[in-house]
Order: sequence, then C-alpha cells, then structure tokens
Amino acid sequence: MNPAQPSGWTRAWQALHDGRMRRLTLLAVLPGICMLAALACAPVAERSSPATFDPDSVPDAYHASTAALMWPGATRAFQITSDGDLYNGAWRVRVRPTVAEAPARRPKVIAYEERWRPVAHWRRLNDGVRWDFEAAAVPGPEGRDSGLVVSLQIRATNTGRMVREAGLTLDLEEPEPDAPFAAFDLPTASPELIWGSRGVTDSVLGWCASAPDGSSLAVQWSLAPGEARGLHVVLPSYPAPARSLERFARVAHSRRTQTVRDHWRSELERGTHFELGDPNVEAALKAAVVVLLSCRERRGDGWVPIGSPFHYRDVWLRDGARAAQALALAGYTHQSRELARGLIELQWPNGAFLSQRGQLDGTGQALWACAETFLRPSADPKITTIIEPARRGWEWIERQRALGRSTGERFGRMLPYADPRDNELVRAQLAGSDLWAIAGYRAAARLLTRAGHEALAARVDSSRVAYLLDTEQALAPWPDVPASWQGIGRDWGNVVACYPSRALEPGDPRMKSLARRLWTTAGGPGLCTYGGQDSLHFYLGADLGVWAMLAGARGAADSVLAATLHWRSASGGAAEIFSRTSGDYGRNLPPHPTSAAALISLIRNAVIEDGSDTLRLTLGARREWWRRGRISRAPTRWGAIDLEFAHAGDEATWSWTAVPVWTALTLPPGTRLAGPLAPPLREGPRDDVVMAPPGTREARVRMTPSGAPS
Amino acid sequence: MSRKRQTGRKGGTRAPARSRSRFSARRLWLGIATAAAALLLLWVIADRRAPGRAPTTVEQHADLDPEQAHRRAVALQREKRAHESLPYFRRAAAGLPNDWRVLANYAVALHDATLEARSAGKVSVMATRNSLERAAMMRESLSLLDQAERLAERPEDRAYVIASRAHRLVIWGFARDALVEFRHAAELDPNWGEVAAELERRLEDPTRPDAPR
Repeated sequence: MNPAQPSGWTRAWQALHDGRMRRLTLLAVLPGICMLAALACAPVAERSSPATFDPDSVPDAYHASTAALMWPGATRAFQITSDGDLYNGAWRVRVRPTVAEAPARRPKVIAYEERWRPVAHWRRLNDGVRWDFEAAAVPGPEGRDSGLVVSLQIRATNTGRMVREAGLTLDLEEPEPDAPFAAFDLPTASPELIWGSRGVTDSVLGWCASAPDGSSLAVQWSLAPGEARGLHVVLPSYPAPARSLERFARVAHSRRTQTVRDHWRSELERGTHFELGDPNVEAALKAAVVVLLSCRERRGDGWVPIGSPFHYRDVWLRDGARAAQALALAGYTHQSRELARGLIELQWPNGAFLSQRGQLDGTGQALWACAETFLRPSADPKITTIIEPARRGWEWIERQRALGRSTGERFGRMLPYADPRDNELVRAQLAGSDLWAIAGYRAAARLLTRAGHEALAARVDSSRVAYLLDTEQALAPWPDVPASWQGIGRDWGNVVACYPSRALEPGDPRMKSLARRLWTTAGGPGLCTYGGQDSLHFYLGADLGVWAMLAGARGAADSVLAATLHWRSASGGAAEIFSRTSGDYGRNLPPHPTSAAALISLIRNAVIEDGSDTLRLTLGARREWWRRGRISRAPTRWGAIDLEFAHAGDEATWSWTAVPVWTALTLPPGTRLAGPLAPPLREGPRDDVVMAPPGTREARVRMTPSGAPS
Repeated sequence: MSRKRQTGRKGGTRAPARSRSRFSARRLWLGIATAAAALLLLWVIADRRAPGRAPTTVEQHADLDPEQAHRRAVALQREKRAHESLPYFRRAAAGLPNDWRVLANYAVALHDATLEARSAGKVSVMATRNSLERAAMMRESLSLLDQAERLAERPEDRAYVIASRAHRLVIWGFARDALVEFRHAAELDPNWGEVAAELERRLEDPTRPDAPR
C-alpha cells in the first residue's frame, strides 16, 4: 500500500466528513437505530426475559433476602424464605437441590423482575450445577376468591464439563414452633401433608406431574455438560383438590408468569404515571403500588387494608389510613376509597374509630383517610355516606375534650390517656392522638363543605381553631413536640405535627427542633431510630421528610428519600424496623405496606403537593428529575393534573394543568431566581420559589446557582 | 343418513305425525322437569344430611335447655374459654331474652373473646380474625349491656351492668367515657364510687401504676 494514498477506510472517512457519504451512512445505520429505538420503546415485560434475568444482580439492603408471593384479596401469601423454601403460615415447602448429595448453597437474593414486578427469581448453586427458580402467584384455584396458587418453575443447568447427578426434593412440612408467622385461619388440626399427581383425587398441598410420594417430591437428573432439566410445581395457599390443581398446571408456567406480568402492567397503567428519568425511583414507586394493592382483603362487598401479607394480617387504622392515602396519591382513586370505606367499619357506638386497644389516634386517622381519598381528584358522588360517621367521630373527640375540661385534669383539653401497647409504648396522654385528631377535624370540615353542610363545617373548623390553641398551650413547656403531654414515651405520633396533621406550620421552630433531635439520635437526616441506636425505622421519619420539603430543607428531605430508596429488598419492598449494622429485620418481615405508603408519599409530594390551599410543584424534585420530568393523571384536590418540568441552561420550565388556586413552583436544587419575573409570575416566600396565579398553565424562569448548598 | 330422511320414512301422513311428536315432546319435557325437581330435592336433603357438613353452632345447641346452656357458658368463660362459650350464650340469650344476667354475661364473654388467643398446631394465633371482627363483637357486647341495663330492675343490678360497660371501655382505652359510666354506677350503688375515684386519679396522672378493677 502506498502510504501517500489514503486507504479505502480513510477515504470513506474523509468522504463522510466531506458530506458525500453522509446520506449513504445514514441509510446503512438507520435500520440499526430503528431496532435500538424499538427495543427501548418495547414494553418492559417483553424486554426482561426470565432466561436473561440474573436475580443476583439486584441489590437487597437486608441481611436475609426474602420475597412475598401475594395477590389482592387472597387471605394467605407465600413467603420465599432466605433459605429458598416457601412458607404460607400453615405449611412449609422445603426445597433441597443437591448434586451428588451435596446441598446447594442458599440463594443470594430473591428478586422481583426489575425490582418491582412480582415474578420472583432466585438462584442456588452447586459445584457445576446452577438452579434457577421462578415463581409467581395468581388467584385460584377456580371457585375460590380468597386463595392463590403459586406456579413454580425450577431449572437445573449443568454449567460444568462433566456429567452431574442432580437431585431435587420438595418436602411438605408442618410449621416450626418458632415460625415467624402463622396463618390467621390455621386449623387446629394440621392438614394432611400430601402432594398431588395424576390420578390423585384428595385434597393436597401441591401438585406436580412427576409422581410424588406422600409429603415428598423427589426427582433425580443425570445432566450432561450444558444440559438443563426443569420441573413445574403448583402450590395452593389452601389445601385444594388435586384435580383442580392438575387443571391449573395444564397451563404452562411461562403463560402463568406472562399473565402476571400483563396483569401488573395493566394495573400500573391505571395509576398516575411518573416519568422522572430515574429508573430506581420509578421502580420503587411501582413496587410500593404492588405491595399496597396486594395487601388488601375483601370484607363482604368491600375491601380493607391489611398490615402485612404475613405476620400483620389484620387491620390497623394507623396503617390502613396511610395505605388508603398513598393509593389515592398514586392515582388509584377507586381502590383508595374502598379502603377508606372499609375503615369506617371500625367506628364504635360512641363515635370513636378504634382498631386496637388504646390507640386513640384512630378517629383522626379515619377522618383524614376519608378526606384524602374521597376528595381527590374530585368529590365522590357518594360522599354523603361518610358524612354521618365523620360527624360522629368529630363529636366524640369534642365530647372527650369537654369531659376533660369538666374533670379539671391538667391536660383535660387534650384526649385522655391511652396505652397503645405499641409505638409510644407508654400509658400517657399521647401527643399523636391530638395531632391526628386535628388532622381529622380539618378533614371533616373539608368533607362537610364539599357535601354541602357548610354550617356544620364551620362549627368543626371553629372547634379546630380552639383545639389548636389548646395544643399550643400543651406544647408551651416543650422545646419541640413531645411523644406525650406527660413527657414520656417513644417518639411516634408527635412526628406528624406538621405533616400530615398541619397542627404546626412548616416554619415552626419546634418542628425544626424535633427533626434535629430525631436526626441527631439517628446520626443525621434520613431514617429515624426506634428503640435503640442501631434500630432503624423505615417510615417513622418519612413525615419529617415531607416537613423538610415544605420547610425548604431540601438536602434533609433528599436524605430521607435516599434512605428509603436504599433500604429496600430485591423485590422492592421495605421492612418496618431493622438493624442498621446487620440489616437484620428479625421476625418483622418485609414487605410492610406502611413503608410502601411512606415511599409513595415522599416521592409524590416531592413533585406534587396539595395538602394546603396552594398547589406545590417540584418541591423536592431531584436534580436528575429535572432533565425532563413528566407526571400524568395525578389526582389533586383540584382535579387530575399533568405536569412537565425541565431545566436547561439557566432556565427552568413547567407546564401543568391549570388549577383554581395559586401554584408554588420550586426551582431546581442549588439554584435561585435570576432577575425579575415575567407577569403573571411573582416571587415566592423564598428565593427558590415562584408563585403562579390560579389558571396558569406554564412558567419559564431564569435561574442562577444559589451558591449555597441546597 | 340425514335426520330429515329418517323422519320422512317413519312419519306416514304429515299432520298426525306432527301431532304425535308434539305430544311426545310435552311428555318428555314434563318428565325431565319432574326428574330435575326430584333430583334438586334429593340434593338439598342430601346436602343437609351430608356427614361432611358441620352443623352450625345454632343447630348444635338448638335443643339445649337455655338455663343449662347458660351454666355451661359461664363455666367455659371462667375457664378462660370465652370463644367456646359464645354458642352456649347465644342459645341461652335466645331462650332467656329478658334475663339481664344472661345478657350481661354474654356481653362480657364477647368482650373477653376479642382478647383471646388460640393454639393451632404448634403456634398461637388470635381467636378472632381481625380488628373488624373484634370491633363488631364489641358493638354487640355494648348493645347487649344496654339491653341488660334496661332489663335490670334493682339499682345495684343496673349499677353492676353499667360498671361492666365502664370496665370494658377502660380496657379498650375510652377512659373518660368509662368515668361517666362509673359515676353513673356509683349514683345507683355507692360501692362503685371508689372505682370512679381511682379512675379519676388515673386520668389526672396516667402514669399511676394500678388499673381500676
């Protein structure tokens, strides 16, 4: 080759630069670009082929990785244990993969697809053999509306260079005495531990086409190098006729899992759509919705929220109200109202709402849940059905305050003492009972106004003002907000003083002191501790995160969000309490619905907050969300809205559905307003907030770095 | 062979054949309907008598003498088997609807059942399913106490029923509602005065160690 002459490639390169081959190259590359674009735009479910899905690549914050196989309305769920077994509170399916009788190692993690879609995957390894497990829950078998059936596919692959003798045993066993949970409807006599197969007509606890023997299912495979063999079993949550399971198993596992993927994709499409350019946050939101929708049980024609798929299979007002609100914020209006309506069943003849002994915050929580769900995005046509319960609830609290005044108690104007045997863990007059009651008063007044009972609404509102004054007096001796008016107890209900109670303004110095006290104990803004320095609580401090957003402490708010995003399992759920150092949650198993609700509340309020009479947008939006954040069909108290926001160069832009109230627009982190604003925009209370009058649909603002840490 | 051709060959003249056919069809339908009705009746009877179907608690104790049912219920309640006592109380209350003692005892048993655990296999679980069920039981319990209060004639009996209600209210956390009840009971029977005073002291200082009994 003559070095003086350019080579063919160099000529082509020069031609490209000259512009002669640009069109040609574009034509050649275009199909590739189109294929990549098509891949990027393809539905997520189709992209994540289980065959290519490596569960061990998914992070899990906890020491023991577990996952739930659950379904809305089912009254039992299976836990995939950290040992790789399945347990439903009534029996255990012990899974023992071996190679030459050597047991496989425990799974590293149990992961959902994309850390949210409830098709669970886990791997166990022997020398030379990889065991891949895939499981999903679907309702059934037919004729049962409170059961579920797990379709489990197990696949052994010889990854070595020599023939391996692989064995797999699935034993049905009774629960151990120290099992972390038991089914609420566990019969006194244990069910017969028996597998079903072809020709068996009995009631069985599992089904497999391979001939099992009583309580044990065993297969043995001789695997050549590269060879893979699989086994499909189905596991009902209740004993089921073998024939109905046989019919169930006729549908291939791959079709079952596809049904699950399709179902949850369609469920998530029904809610608010968050496009934040932050896959971790988007997946966390989806996982939280899956948990909340799954942790519901039927009660007659209605639905109620439960405290866990496993050990807290009961209804608590303090958790149920949060679950209902979070679903309302996430765009599940119908489901959230059903849950709120379910909580009304917990009203007592005296008008109070109480789910557990000594938990007097229930009345405020029930009223709050009703307003949060029945008024968003517009008043429910059946709002009148909850007016009477709301009125009775308010009257009960007013009666308590009147009785207390008449007895001359020191804190007689506050709710009486309570012994919740949980949370504050003390018998005292709990601040949380009153702070929730105040939230309930505001909620009741809003409900009554929208239902046309203005006079009663005015009475409720006026009683709220009086209650606030009494609260102010009770708070007077304290530098922040104590757990109880007697000054004893663990911090719990007092944390809601600003959000959601709004008894204190975001700028109240007592809120700042409370946050400082709790975060100092915890080692900094983020999760709060509960009970001990090493004991982190997932959702206790989430309300402080929203307070921090409202107070303009964006760095602190973001630390809370970051901590909640971190402390999740590979299946996207979060525990309630766990060790900071070991990540051990003990017997308090994830996923916890209130943790899911806290995460939804934090993320949603970071972009759209509508608790007061001002719509607040991008209150805590993270820097990466500003590349182009889009939220569609978000229910607010002024209708469902769409929002887009972006930051490019020195300009921030917002476009949103007009609302009949003022909108506060918070600038991207680390920026402040540069120069005068174009009408109709006005300067806000801080240099990173701009106010838009009612009816505004878009805003464009020039910014400059604030020079101060956000 | 087609059905049309087969009918044509057997039919003879058209009209009589059709008439016979209609008559046969009516008889056939009548027979089917009778057989179906008979089968339905048999199925209903069989279902009622099926050995696998457990009789309801009302059926179980329907023949039991109400007094006897009450004694059995109270015995079970004393053994802290409140949940088991409920079917007997139900029978006793149905048979003795105007006996305030039966209704008051039944009310207390319902309350106690909301706090009861049971053992299933090797583990212990709540005897009731969830808080909705417990709240419903407490509503029923309070309603029974209202009825018992109306039925009790002697002031001390009414005071006992009212104090029973107050005691349950304290347990569930309604201390001020309970105080109103205890004071009312003390008006009818001064023996309840000290309990009311103790609760008043507790309301003033919730950290006091002893619960009112």
